[in-house]
Order: sequence, then structure tokens, then C-alpha cells
Amino acid sequence: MTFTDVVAGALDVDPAHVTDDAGQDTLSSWTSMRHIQLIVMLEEAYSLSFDYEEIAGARTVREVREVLRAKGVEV
Amino acid sequence: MDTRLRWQEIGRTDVRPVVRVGLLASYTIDPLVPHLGVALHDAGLPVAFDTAPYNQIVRQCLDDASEMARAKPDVLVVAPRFEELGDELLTAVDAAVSAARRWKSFLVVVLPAVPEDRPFGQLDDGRAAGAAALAHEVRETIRAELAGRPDAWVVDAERAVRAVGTAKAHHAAMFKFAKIPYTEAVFGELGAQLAGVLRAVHGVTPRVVVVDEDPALEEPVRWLRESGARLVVRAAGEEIEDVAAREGVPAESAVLLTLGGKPDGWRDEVARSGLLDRMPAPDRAARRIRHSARETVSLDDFMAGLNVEVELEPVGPETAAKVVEVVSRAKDFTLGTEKLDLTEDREVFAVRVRDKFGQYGISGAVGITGGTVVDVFSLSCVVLGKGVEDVVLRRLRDEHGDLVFRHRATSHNQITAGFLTDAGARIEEIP
Repeated sequence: MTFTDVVAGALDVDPAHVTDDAGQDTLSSWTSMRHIQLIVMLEEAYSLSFDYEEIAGARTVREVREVLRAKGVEV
Repeated sequence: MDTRLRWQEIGRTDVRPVVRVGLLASYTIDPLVPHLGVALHDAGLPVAFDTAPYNQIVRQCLDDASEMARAKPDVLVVAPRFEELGDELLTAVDAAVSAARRWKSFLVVVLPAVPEDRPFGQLDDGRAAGAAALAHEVRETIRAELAGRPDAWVVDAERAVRAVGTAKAHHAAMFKFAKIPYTEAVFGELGAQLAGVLRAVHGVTPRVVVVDEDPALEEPVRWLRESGARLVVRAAGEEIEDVAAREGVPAESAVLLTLGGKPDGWRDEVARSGLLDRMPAPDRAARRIRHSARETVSLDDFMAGLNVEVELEPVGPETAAKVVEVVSRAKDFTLGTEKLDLTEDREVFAVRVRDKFGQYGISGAVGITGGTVVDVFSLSCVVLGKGVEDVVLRRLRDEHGDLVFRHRATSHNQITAGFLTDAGARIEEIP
């Protein structure tokens, strides 16, 4: 399961729409509920745990990727 | 996760749904959709869903103008929890039974899991007042009342939680921020249970079992033969559709069991396949534990019984941050306001709500510009369905007279426009 698949599944979007610039302002399905689901699914996919504040502010795919990289995940 | 992507793929096909399923829960039940949708699709029952806002079971069932009443689904799935509903849980089930009868829907009630919290600590299990005893009494009451009905069934959230394990069944952040009480694994189990029931109801339980020839699988193959299943051993490389055609059954009536090398998983795979699903002998008579036939509560009675109290207070320094946050988070009930700027020339009020279940704190905001234009009217999901919006609108009209509501449509706020229209409000639509 790739990073793109995880994000696409959590946000219910076509994987083709998971670009770095995509975010809460461009993907209408990226609601606060799906943001939480995204966090949990990333935790499960990469066997890690976030402090909520750590990722709550990530509003684009690029920012989510950066949070993961900061935790040592190659994405 | 595969299930979510598969559900997306199914959504992009032009398969016409043959079943409409309505989902009502006291919590956010949306994560169930892909699990149930894929399972039914694979069983040859393409499905479409109608999902109502969370924790509105009674209102959705009793209000003939509700989203679910308009949808009149073929199957109504109702999933209440003790944690949200407490003593009102049976009222919610009664309302669901009544609604299903009016809408001619097949009703499936998800028996609520026994709550994790034990008010009497380690002594909780020893008395009838304990959480577990109360929960089991209510669960059996629901089961007994539905057991005599030909148009209803139950599945069990407790079984789903137990299958996953309590430690892996919940995620605190999911509940705190999204009101999702269960993990994906639990929703997967619930989806499998519901799919099994709906397969049986629609008569699409598997008719042919296909397994690969493998001496190591002697034991599960013996179970299958004992279950009365029509067993076919497949040749190497043969497609399941070809096996089904050879056996003279539709493709969806043939189920392939992969039965991997780990015996721990065999029973689960067989159970999920639907092979073991068969109707138990009917109960001789509905065992009514409650002795008095209760009148189904009316919507007005239910709303009055909530004891909802709403306060509007001018925003001050101590409430400003919370009001801004509530407005930015409100997606369903909002005039389309994404960010509230408190420096703008506008009267802003915080909306505080409490009811018989507790205090919700600041749960909304109203902004009035120039004394006549409402350009902020946002409420949190947690207080919707309680009549809060009606109370706020009434107060605004009492104190400010005829107001114009400046509304911008978003992809989520259709209920706001619907509410204002039904209330006869003047709406100024902005692009």
C-alpha cells in the first residue's frame, strides 16, 4: 500500500488527485472527519503514532508528507 | 484500506444498485459504507447508501421530512450506542421499528456493544445496576422484540468488538474529533455481519464452494462437506466464473475459499463466505420482556423530552477563540462562512447548548451585519437534530424582526439552505 493509496482511501478520492498541492482547500472530501481518518490510517500503515497537534495543522498532501518524513518515513 | 479503494473503483463503474441501504447511528457510521458496500457488491447485490447525520436516530425516524424519510431505503440499518443514548436507546429502537414499518424497509438493528466504562469499577459486575447487566438486559429486550418480526433482524456490535479485541477496537482521537467510536477493523466485522444478513434476506447465499486441490486442506474441506455445501475442487488456473458456469450457477453464487496455510484463519474465512449462514428456527412467539406495550414516542414528545436549552451571548475576549474555531469547523450547518473575522463590523453571538444528556458548551455562532443581515449562522454537528436551529432562528426573529440570511452554497451545507427555506426565511444567495 503506497502513501498515495492510503491518502486516496482515507479521503475517498481518486489516487490521481493525490498530488502534493492537493489539500483541504482543493479536495472537497477532505473534511475534518476524513482528516482524522487519514491520521489513523497513516498510523496503521506506517506503524507509528502522532501527537494530534503534530498533524492537525497539515492541510495539504505535501504537508502530510513532510510530517511523515520528519518521523523518518520515506514517502 | 484495500476495501476503501475497491469501493471507489466500484463507484466509478456504471453498475446500477439493486438495494438502497439507509444508515442511522448515534455515532458517525460513514466508515461502514465501503466494507458493507464491497461485501454486497461481491455477493451480487450492488448497493447505494443514504447516511443521515449522526445521533439523529429518533428525529430521522419520526420526522416525515427528514433525509431518511425522503429516501425510504429498502433496508434501514440502525446502530445505537449506550454511550450516546443512555436511557433513550430503546426509544430510538422503537422509533426505528415504527419508521421501517411506514417506509416498508427491512430493519436491521445493530445491537449495541456493552460499554467499556464501568460506573462501579471492579464491583460493577455484581449487581443488576452495573453497566454490563443493564446493557445485556436492553440488548436482549431488543433481540426479543425483533425476533418475532419477519421484516427485521439484528447484528451485534459486541461480537464485532470481541472479534477485533477491545484494545484494537477503539481510537480515542477518532471519537474525540469525528465521533467515530470504532476502528476500521470493527467496521469490517460489522460490514461482514450485515452483508451476511442481507445476502440471506435477498436469497443470494453461496451455492457452490470452490477450493484448490491441496492435501493440506483436508480438515476445512471436511467441515465444508459437513455443512452441506456443494463442493467443487478447481483445476489449476481455472477462473471462478468458469467454475460457476460449469456448475450451472451464476458467478456470484460460487464462492472461492483460498484457505491459506494458517489454520487460525480457516473458520473466519468460512464464516465470512456466508456458507454457514442459515436461518434458525423461528421463535415460537416474540418474547416481550417489557410488559407494557409502549406507545411509540412522537417527534414533539421526543424533542420536548430532550430539555434543550439554548443561550445566545455576545462574544467576549474569553469566548472569541472558541467561536472562531466552531465557525471554521462547521461544515453541514453553516451559511458558507469559512473563517470568522471578529474585527469586522458585525454583532456576533456565541450559541451555548445543553440538554438532558449534558452540556455542549459553545456549539455555534451567529453574526448580524447592519442589524438586518445574518451572514454567520453556524452550528456544530453535535447539536444538530435537537431543534437548536429552530430556537436560534426564533430568537433572532423575536429580537431583530425580519432578517436576510446571506448564504453561500458549499458541497456540504445543503441542510442549512433547506432549513431556512422550510422556515420561510429570506435568503440572499451569494456566489
